[in-house]
Amino acid sequence: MALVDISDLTIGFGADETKPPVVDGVDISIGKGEIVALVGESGSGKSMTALSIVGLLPERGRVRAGRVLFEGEDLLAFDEAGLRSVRGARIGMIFQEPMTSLNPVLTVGEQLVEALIVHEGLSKAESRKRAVAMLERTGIDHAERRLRQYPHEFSGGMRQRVMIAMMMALKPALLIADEPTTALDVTIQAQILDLLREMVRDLDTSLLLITHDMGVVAEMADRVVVMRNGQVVEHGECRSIFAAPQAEYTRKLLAAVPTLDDPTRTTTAASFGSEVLRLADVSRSFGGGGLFSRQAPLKAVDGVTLSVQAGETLALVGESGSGKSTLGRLAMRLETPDHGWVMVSGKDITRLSGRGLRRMRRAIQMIFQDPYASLDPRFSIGRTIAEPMILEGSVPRSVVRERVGALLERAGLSAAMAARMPHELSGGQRQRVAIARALAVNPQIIVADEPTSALDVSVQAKILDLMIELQEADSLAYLFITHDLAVVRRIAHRVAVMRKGRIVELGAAADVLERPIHPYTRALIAAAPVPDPARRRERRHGMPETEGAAAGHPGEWRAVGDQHWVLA
Amino acid sequence: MTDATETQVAADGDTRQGRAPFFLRLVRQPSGAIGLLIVAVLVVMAIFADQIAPYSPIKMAAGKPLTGPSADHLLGTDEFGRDMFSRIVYGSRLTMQIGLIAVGISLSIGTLIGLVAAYAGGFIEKLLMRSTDVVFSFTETLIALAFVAVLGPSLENAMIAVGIAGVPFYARTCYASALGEEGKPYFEASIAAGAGHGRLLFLHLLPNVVPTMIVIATLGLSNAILAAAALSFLGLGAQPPTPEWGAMLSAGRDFFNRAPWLMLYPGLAIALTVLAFNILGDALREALDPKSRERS
Repeated sequence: MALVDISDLTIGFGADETKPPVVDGVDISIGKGEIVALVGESGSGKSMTALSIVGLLPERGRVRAGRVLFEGEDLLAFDEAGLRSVRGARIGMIFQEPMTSLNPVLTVGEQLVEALIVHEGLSKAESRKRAVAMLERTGIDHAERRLRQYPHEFSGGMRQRVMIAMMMALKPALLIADEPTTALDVTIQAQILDLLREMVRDLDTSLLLITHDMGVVAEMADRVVVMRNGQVVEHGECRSIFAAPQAEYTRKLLAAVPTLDDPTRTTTAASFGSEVLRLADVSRSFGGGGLFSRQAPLKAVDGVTLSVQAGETLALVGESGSGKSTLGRLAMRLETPDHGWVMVSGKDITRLSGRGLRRMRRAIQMIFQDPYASLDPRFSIGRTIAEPMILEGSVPRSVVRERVGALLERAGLSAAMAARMPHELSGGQRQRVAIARALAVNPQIIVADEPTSALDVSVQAKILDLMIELQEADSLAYLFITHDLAVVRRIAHRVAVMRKGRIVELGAAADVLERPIHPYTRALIAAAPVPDPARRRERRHGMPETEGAAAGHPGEWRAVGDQHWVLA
Repeated sequence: MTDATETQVAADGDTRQGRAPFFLRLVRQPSGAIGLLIVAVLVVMAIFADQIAPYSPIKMAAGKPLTGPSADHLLGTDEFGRDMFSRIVYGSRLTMQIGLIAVGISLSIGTLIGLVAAYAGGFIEKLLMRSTDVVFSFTETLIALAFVAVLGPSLENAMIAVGIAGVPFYARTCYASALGEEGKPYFEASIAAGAGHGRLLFLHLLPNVVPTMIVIATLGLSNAILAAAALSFLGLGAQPPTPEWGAMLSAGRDFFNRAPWLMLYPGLAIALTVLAFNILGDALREALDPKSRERS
């Protein structure tokens, strides 16, 4: 018999039964030791389904119908005390944001030990021993010492390990993981996924994995349940769903996933226009130097030299903390470099200020990651897009309205949207507005900082298509900052891989992605999940072995091919 | 290129569409409804004092001195035979004036300091915020006292003093709120579009800190009223025979044993007003918070 058997689950918001439900007649079963992936885009009801298992629906959420059988008992009939005895001990949970799932004022050890005492009834000394063993098992070094530290002293990946260690210690029958790796870098993601797989194998735990990432699904799942608008549109074996998706929606979802096998965009350097952006030996440090601070300043960007030509996309790839966003902000002169020069269209903007800087800035525009914060909530869409034109002053006010309409249409929206307010728009629509705003002053280059990472895959694909279309029409240049190699493959002509403030490898997209030389680039590519279960690899991921080299001698540039350099 | 998925998200993924209008969200909370009601009564009293009050608030010997509440004099008379009810009604006018003017002074100066400090950064930020810190380290009443000591005791000077004493609180709140807005991408996008200082400050930053400042100002009204009443009570604000509640409270002290209503009613009026603005401010904060949704 299945461990979990959800049948005809229907969940709605509020007492009003006539309102459409957010989860509508869902059936899912999870066998012992099985990994089931629950896939869907935002608003599909996947998280609601999972939360209902442990009775953690939001305040207004109501189960209208259905059963959730866990080990033969209906969890929906349990009272709060009954649910509490099941939570943690029998059903464990891991959430997306590891920062918020640990208590910041207690040491990691106190939290681990407490969980063991409460659920396992162990003595304090025994629990402590078990906690150390568990941390070591999840690959955390110096476990003894680490137990005495607080959550903020751990990185995101380490916190997620602690959560997994806690779960492993409790040996739950079912583990629910809601987007457990979404906030993590790819190399860390690969390690966490390995760890989860190990836990399922060694403890015979069942895993319900909620994700929007088809790559993660292909790597992990035995079976897949695809949800859309609260309903299950398809379920089946992982391999068969990837090989022969039945539902129209699943096909569309899979088609939208960029893969590492798509051809890269190929163009020779000669086909591009003149140089529009040049960063020469720029550096920027943060912190340090204060009156009372003895900390050495952190070098976010350390002597980077780059150039981007008209009509070209240069992708800047790296993990969090690599300095890639700071580099983008330096190019925009939102930050001022400590050393080096920033040149836009051959003009040095490093030392400009005031009016001169404002004028030059129009040649270089920016698109941000968070579509919800990148539009002024008090400005209508039309006013937002008109702002750069009005400031530039070259467009007569009477024509601005028309131009706004035209720009909206270029970005794939209707001109009537100008009257709407940002909160009425979806994430994808807002990102289109941000693109329209960037285009308003006819820039030569757009710095795009993770413009698609907050979006669902199908929307992501459309935004990338739009950006490529605009580039080809106007020979726009992009400095495209991302951590997602599949996206890089889709949009980039050239790739620069960044690590600890330095560029470690630079070359044509095809060269860097298919013949990576630098060990860090290789580690990044190896860690990226491939959305194809047939090519699932049993691997053991470690941190790339370049720590020593990066800390000491920065190395020198070496040409390893035509327009392909590596720092060694 | 219209896309089905995106329009779908816009159509059914947006929970805000179902939000009730602002006013409804405000009065549906008991605290909002009650606060608003009391404030409305006060405003009506203040505006129509001439029509409502049966006697002049200043003219002496309208009735016998120190009589208790009766049909002729609803709340009794004071030591000069003035009708207490009329004095309380006229007092509401003064109280409203004091509150609005004092808060107006704190709000405008405080918002300006906060915005400029957050926007300018560097030396200006340090100078402005450290100076407000210094002022903040003294009690408001003490600062108000010092101002009145210099300017001389009068109602106008009390308003100015209370207003100035409130500035640091508003400046700090505005500063924190503006710092948060400044870090958002929409602000940087405007910089990238070439927006100048004035535009960034007054078209982007200011409108986005206003909701916070409205809540603060409503809560601050009660504070200002209380501070001004305290100054009058100490004889540094409104001078006799002005029917100011704090001054009335102070004058009633001498007759507390014989005529307790002389202190009771002005005290009650002050307490109710302060309470009303406080609960109204709380309700406003709730109603303006985009995260709080109605509960079913």
